[in-house]
Amino acid sequence: MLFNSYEFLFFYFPVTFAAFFAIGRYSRSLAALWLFAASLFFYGWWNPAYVSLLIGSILFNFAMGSAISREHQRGRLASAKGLLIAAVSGDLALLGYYKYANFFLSSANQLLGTGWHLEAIILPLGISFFTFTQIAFLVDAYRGEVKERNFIHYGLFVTYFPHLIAGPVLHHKEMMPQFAQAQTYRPHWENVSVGLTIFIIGLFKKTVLADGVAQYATPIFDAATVGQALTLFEAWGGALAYTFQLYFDFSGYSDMAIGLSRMFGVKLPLNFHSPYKATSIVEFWRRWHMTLSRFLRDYLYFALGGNRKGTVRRYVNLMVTMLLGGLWHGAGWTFLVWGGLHGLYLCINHAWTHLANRLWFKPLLPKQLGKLLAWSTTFMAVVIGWVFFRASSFDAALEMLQGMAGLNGIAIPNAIAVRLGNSWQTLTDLGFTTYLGGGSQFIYTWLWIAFLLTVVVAMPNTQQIMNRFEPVLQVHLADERSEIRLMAWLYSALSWKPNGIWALATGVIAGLGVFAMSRISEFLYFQF
Amino acid sequence: MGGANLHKHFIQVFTATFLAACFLGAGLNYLVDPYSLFGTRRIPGFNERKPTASERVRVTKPYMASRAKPRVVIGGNSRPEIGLNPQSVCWKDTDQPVFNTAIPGADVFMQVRYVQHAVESGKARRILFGVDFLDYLVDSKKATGEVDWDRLGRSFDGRLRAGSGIFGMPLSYQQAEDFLSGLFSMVAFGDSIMTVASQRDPLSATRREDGFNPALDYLPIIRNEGQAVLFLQKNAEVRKRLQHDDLGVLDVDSGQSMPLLALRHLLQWAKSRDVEVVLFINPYHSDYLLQIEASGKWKVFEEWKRQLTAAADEYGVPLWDFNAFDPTSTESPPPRDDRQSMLEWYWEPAHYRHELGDLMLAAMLGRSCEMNPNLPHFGVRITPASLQSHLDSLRSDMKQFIDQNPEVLRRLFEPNS
Repeated sequence: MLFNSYEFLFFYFPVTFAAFFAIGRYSRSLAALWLFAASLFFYGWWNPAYVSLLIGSILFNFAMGSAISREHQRGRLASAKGLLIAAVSGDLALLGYYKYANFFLSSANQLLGTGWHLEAIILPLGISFFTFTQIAFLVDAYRGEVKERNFIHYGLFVTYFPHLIAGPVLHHKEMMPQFAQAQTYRPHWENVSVGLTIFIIGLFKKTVLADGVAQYATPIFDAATVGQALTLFEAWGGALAYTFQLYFDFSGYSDMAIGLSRMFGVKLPLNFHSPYKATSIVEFWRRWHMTLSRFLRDYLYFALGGNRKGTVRRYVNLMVTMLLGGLWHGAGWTFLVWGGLHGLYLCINHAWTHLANRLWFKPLLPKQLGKLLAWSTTFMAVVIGWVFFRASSFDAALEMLQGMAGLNGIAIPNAIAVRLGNSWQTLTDLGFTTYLGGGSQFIYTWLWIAFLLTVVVAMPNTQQIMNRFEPVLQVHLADERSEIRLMAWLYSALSWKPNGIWALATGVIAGLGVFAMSRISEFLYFQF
Repeated sequence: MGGANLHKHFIQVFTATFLAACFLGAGLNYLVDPYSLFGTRRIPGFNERKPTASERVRVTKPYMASRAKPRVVIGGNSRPEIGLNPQSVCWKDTDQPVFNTAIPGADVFMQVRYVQHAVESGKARRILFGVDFLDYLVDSKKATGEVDWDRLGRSFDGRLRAGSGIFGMPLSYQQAEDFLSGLFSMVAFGDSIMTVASQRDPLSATRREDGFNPALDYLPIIRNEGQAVLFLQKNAEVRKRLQHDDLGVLDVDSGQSMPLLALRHLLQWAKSRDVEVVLFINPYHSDYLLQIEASGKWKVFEEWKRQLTAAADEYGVPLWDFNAFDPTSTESPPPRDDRQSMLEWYWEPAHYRHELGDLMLAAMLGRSCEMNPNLPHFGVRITPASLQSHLDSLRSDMKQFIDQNPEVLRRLFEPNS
């Protein structure tokens, strides 16, 4: 079920919410069981057949986690480690089969000229998310940091519908205490108003902003797929439109998840903190899909040795982590290239910081100019990365990049050229040409881009808007140097309070968000 | 007020505002009715023109037809939608209401289903059905097989059921969805505002209540960029559509095709209900006809006409062919920098103006239509007996035209020379 669907908003959520607190008055265990069952229903709405897969995965991991905890408690660490390896291998095998089997077969077929074939496998929704959540649980159990005896609570932790399909990736230890608290089972007006506002902001981001700009990204990437040569503005228009679509889509989803959960009195971790304000790639990754970055750092990068084994190993570990992070997003070479590109970016970023600190004691450029340069370089690097992330194939990505490099020329729609009067002659001298049709598409693309760019660099984010009411588990404190910040006065002006003006504004935004649902679309991160 | 009360009050005001915003938005969408979905009265200066309706005609035309209850129905694709005017002087009072249910870009089956719906809505007695070459081209290397008509109609059949109309219960699921998404929709809301704002713009596009598209969208393009641009764009499009080698009108095994089966279905259906059908082949500008020839598809074009003639003969309906190399179709488009001149009969190579449509109506209905008697007689009624000589004469007219106007070929196929 989609958060931005009528059945979710007007049927599923009100019923689940009301019944949870009604049952919670009599029995917390039954209320938790209700939420667990409702979450399974939420999952099954999409494909009932895969509910059994989800339940199987939960039973397996709960049993293995309990066994690991038991061995750990008895001091039998070798046996605990054996169980951990078996359990993680089981999880990865399941993920590997559903997500990567066809990719490996087709890659092998290409490389070896073989003709192996598997029936098309439908990717179970959210499998990457629920697998990672449970691997983290197993590792924490092995480390002795968690143990869980209550199957219902464990099942609820994994399936809890706000995060089940596209995260945030949760830690058992940050969720279970909240499910155990008595006050979680009693409704609180503050949780409802804060959660509702966060949800509405997320809904608006998804249905109005992300879906609004998507129509200017999709046709360009489709054209690249069929090998159509794209001119400079077309290619950049498509790449930038997608850059904003993805951010508002996924951060909108995360806001919705955080808001929904907050209405139940359960706080989730932050997943985005204005990533497009970042002035370095390292900072970008502290702000983009933060719970996945945290997972990859804690359970992969650190497991590989992190930065403890020398500089070279540190860079190798970074590359490996980012390559696997890329592959986590999808079974395809473009995702691998995207991950590799970001690994490279991070290595360059670290090397540059290392060098710059030794070579120049004082900044070479005036502070603001240096920051602007750092921001624009970071942003460009991210946009180029998204081209690989979105493109249907490596060739399509190259087609886009060729266009963005101006190799296919610079052209504007004829309808606009004829309105430029004498300035058109100057542009013609510079090598501009025209193409027929697409005038309004061109104008709307760039209006949307200008508008959304302003929003992402100037507006406070949801966490900042809601900062008085502890919207998330850990508050992200950004260093002022790590981001560009325009119109700083907006931050205090837009600090949310439960007053009439905010209620009116939120009501109108909710109306717009619901009205925009008439073009229902899935969240991009559902595919991962 | 205590903390909890502040939050409670917030939720109350929020809920009231949210509901008010939804109902105000829906109310505006209903009153303006930007797509003519609800049939709200059109008020000049407020909502008479419908500039944003063009992309919604697949959704709205069935509802418009239900309200119009036509006696005569015009069907086909965008060519008759733009070319045949239900308010033409050619119609007699006894023909009215005439409804144009032609759907741009629709395949033949959809065109047929929309015609059937419009006929049933008004117990119409006559259908004018335009057939268009490109709509009948199929991959001749593929077999048609068993056509699953139910599946083909799944995306629109729900709105074609009887009882259409906002309160014309019972509503199908699709009808309810159409109305709710017309009311509670951000795009519709934006379009409502756009509709009201563009009422004073004489060049703003519209769709009339009788289903006709006056093609006003072309005017700003012609005024700003010149009609030559429209020709360039459409010629490029047609060239692309015709470039596949395997295009034909019949499939590889059964000697049939889905579009022809759909057409026969219409003819059979109309015959069983005693509804008169007039079939007509849309006129094309000579540019278009020369593209067919240049793509090597002229034989396919002739085969298509043979198939149409056979089908028309089988069901006893007249078939008119409006393809010709005559003064109407051979006007040259103005030069690229000319933003004033306009052709008399065509918008661009594929779409004729309703002035030409009036000549067609005069021929098909056998009426004078208060026209200048000096205007050329337009259109040929073809029968199995006259078909071959008609095809021969069109081919020889084309050859003669090419011989006498070599510059046209240069303009079409060597545009940069």
